[in-house]
Amino acid sequence: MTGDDTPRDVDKSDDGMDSTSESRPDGGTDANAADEDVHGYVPEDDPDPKEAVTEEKPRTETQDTAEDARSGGVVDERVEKTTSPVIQTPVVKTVARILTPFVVAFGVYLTLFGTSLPGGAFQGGVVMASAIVLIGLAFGFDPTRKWIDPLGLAGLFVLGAFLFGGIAVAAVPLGGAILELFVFPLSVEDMVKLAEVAIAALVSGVITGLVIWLAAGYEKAEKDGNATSENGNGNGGDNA
Amino acid sequence: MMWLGLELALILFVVAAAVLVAFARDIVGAIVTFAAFTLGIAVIWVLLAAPDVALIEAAVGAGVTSVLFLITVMKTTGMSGESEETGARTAETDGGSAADGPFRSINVPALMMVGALAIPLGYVILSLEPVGAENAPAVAETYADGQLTPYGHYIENTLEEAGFPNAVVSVLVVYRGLDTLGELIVAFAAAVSILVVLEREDIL
Repeated sequence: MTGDDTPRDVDKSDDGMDSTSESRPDGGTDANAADEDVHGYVPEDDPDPKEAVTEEKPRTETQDTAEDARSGGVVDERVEKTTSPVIQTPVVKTVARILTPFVVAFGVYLTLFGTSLPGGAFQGGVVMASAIVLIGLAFGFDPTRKWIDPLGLAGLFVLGAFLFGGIAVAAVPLGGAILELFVFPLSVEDMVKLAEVAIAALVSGVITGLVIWLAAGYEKAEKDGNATSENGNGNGGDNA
Repeated sequence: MMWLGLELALILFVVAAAVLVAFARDIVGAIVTFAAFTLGIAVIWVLLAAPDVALIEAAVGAGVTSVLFLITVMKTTGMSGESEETGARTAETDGGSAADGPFRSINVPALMMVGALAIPLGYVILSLEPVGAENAPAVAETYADGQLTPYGHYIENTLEEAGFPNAVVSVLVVYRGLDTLGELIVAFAAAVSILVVLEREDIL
């Protein structure tokens, strides 16, 4: 075991740094493109992947020391340092990177074709959110949280709520009751698709935020600052 | 009858997984088994011709809920169930040391509570009309006097009134849109309250 451990650790640190530095922007653009398609919303996270990459370095180092600690029999250290419940191997990262665009596309498909095929906005929204959850599992939830623009994430479900509420209220001046879709100039199917996009935006934003923010935990000290993020993580582990 | 055999196998799998979730000592193993349980339920939904529910069950139950459980375990007791458990918790929940094996011992009062819940529930389920029977209230398209039930109305008129064939979506958005608005308000409130409880509302 000890003979195996040392080369495996070296490999792991190398692979981890390489694959993350390449893979983060890839998965990011895919997810963003699909988000853009559905919600007409462009997350402004161009600087964020770089930041996430610079953020990766200390994390993999801690993971390395954590591996050593695990081989020494101390489990507490490893648990508090890692930010994902899955041990992050290149296999998991590669699979997540390949699968994410397909998952998002499936969510878009479920949302937009829910009127004529099995599916719907709730299903599509949850599937789209699960793509982000997959990225979080593979690459750690802390880098994922820093990679996602929190304002954009909150804007996603605020946009969904206001779009659906707008559809609901806009029926009144057109001469209908609240949410009476028959009074709009568009066909009912198109109005339903519009409402479905609103529901999917809200659901995907809520589910993503639920997982991402719950994984971040209760960290009073951290004010979303980049310089203090490492300290914030440590405090979070202690507080939780 | 092949489908019946498949359904029976799935039900056995689901029941076995549920029992395993209750008695597994390794908490991460229990979570993974719970995900398998939910996937079995999702396949049962597909066999019952409810693909919409199956999608939700698979995505929310097996996907997001399992991840939430994993995050919670990671944040509290740690990923390795046995060595992370404190002595008090071990004595309270396991009734023995961690070396007893992969399963917890049976908690008799909890078993009695579950039995007290399961017996009336099973009685109610067995007294329901079989799926597709004439008197089954949820699936009868007409009342005895020939008038359409709400279900029958949705089935008969969705294509004509809404213009698309998926009756589930038409009920959600067209016929019962106000209920969906309420659901969305609940989801919105959940997201906002997560931010407030974790004191992360300053990101806005």
